Amino acid sequence: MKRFLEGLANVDRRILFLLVVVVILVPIMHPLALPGLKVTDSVRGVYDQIEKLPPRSTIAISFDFDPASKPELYPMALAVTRHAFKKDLKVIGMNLWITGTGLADEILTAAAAEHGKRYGEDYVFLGWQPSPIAVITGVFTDIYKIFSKDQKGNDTRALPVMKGFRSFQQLDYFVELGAGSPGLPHWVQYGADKFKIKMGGGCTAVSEPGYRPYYPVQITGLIPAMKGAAEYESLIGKPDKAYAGLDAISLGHFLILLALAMCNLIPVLTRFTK
Amino acid sequence: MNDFTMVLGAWVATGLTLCIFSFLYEDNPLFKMAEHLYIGVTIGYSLTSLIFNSMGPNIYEPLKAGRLLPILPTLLGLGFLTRFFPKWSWLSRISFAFVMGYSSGLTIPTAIVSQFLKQLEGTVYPLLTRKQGLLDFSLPALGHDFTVLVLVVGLLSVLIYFFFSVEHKGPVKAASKVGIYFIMVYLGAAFGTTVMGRFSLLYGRLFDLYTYRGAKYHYATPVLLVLVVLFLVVYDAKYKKPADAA
Repeated sequence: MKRFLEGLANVDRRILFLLVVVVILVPIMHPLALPGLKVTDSVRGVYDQIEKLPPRSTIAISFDFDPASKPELYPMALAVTRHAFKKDLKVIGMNLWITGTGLADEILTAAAAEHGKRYGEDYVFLGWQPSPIAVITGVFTDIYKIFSKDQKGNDTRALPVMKGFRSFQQLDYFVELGAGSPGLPHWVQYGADKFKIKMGGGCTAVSEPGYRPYYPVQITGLIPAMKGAAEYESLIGKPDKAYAGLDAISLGHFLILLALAMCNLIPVLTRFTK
Repeated sequence: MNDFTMVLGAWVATGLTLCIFSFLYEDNPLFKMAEHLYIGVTIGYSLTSLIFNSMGPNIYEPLKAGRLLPILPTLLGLGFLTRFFPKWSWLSRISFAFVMGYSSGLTIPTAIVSQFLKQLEGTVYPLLTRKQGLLDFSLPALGHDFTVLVLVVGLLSVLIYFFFSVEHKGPVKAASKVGIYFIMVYLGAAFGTTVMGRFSLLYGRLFDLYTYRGAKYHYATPVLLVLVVLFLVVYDAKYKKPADAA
């Protein structure tokens, strides 16, 4: 028995990696539909703000993430964009992470196609510009000085969706979906707090404990990682990739808890076993 | 997106994912290739985006149209590059001075408001306003009060823990000890959410690998998985030294 326990304590790390892969793959192959998803107030805080906007209100979304954090941020970005188009809002998209430009474009294009929205009339993608703090302060003072052209090279002023729009101070709501720096703290500090506009946020799981203090005074809501995205998907009635991924994450957590418990129990058991 | 690009994209994504995952077995040339490719592609993409989406419309086009104002920021930007030439490196001080002055002027007042005063407001506000009304002693109302109490006790005790101007003994020691527990809870929450984040990332990659396994993508995952495993076996047999195996 002692030998078995010692063998268990010194198991090859690659076996653990394999176990993790199995635990994540099983729910992908056979969805388990584990119960227990509850919509939290912070996710509802973003949803409610978008939900109560009248049609043709203007909302901006900053997609500040790159492919490395795609699984966490992409589903919520898609869900929020879908919600905005479903409510017939005008959407201004942009990003502060240069390597995420393609993803942001893809999300806007996909969500727009689902709802029959037209580029330039219902939404625009401004793209990326360097120096994030200058960009944030710039879009809140005169957007055309920062984005004289959109991502496709069109004259931004000439687009119908931008008619009468001068700066982010005119926004009805702003959503920042960020994987790190530059991200939510920058938008809060240099944008929302300074120019007193309502904003909501979405972030990776790692960032969540650090961003919590902003809610509810500085941001109306916070969508944390895949779990938050799954909540948002359920709110808009369109369960998608994040919702499906919750089973895998739950099982993964269970495996980690099991491993932690064993790591602590094995030394104790070894002491009392021959 | 036509079929060919879709299949090619799937094969590239699958191959590179498997190459990166091969590091979990051991360090190997496939992993190194994928790693270097990732860095190269990122820099190449960033540079071309910078040139065509930023420098083009903001510098080249205005100058071409006869507007000379962009010359000033361009010169300030070029000033940074003089660091590479010792004779001219003093010029970079002007650029640095501009950036330091601009950043400090912008950051200091906004940081005081956003990262300090507003956060203070967020802590004090629930103490002064009771959402459910002053005389409501129902379970949700009491639950809200308890949450506020935990928040305030946590804030004060953690602040006391980091207050080193007074010796930590007596009530200060007790309060700072409570602060340690709050910090530990925060670190536990941070670890938990980090695990969740990492699992989400793994889920994303495995989901794609699972998607690309079928005939629609010409069996990208199984074919490339076999090839990567074969490579690792051959690499192990041919190049692994006995010392590495030990």
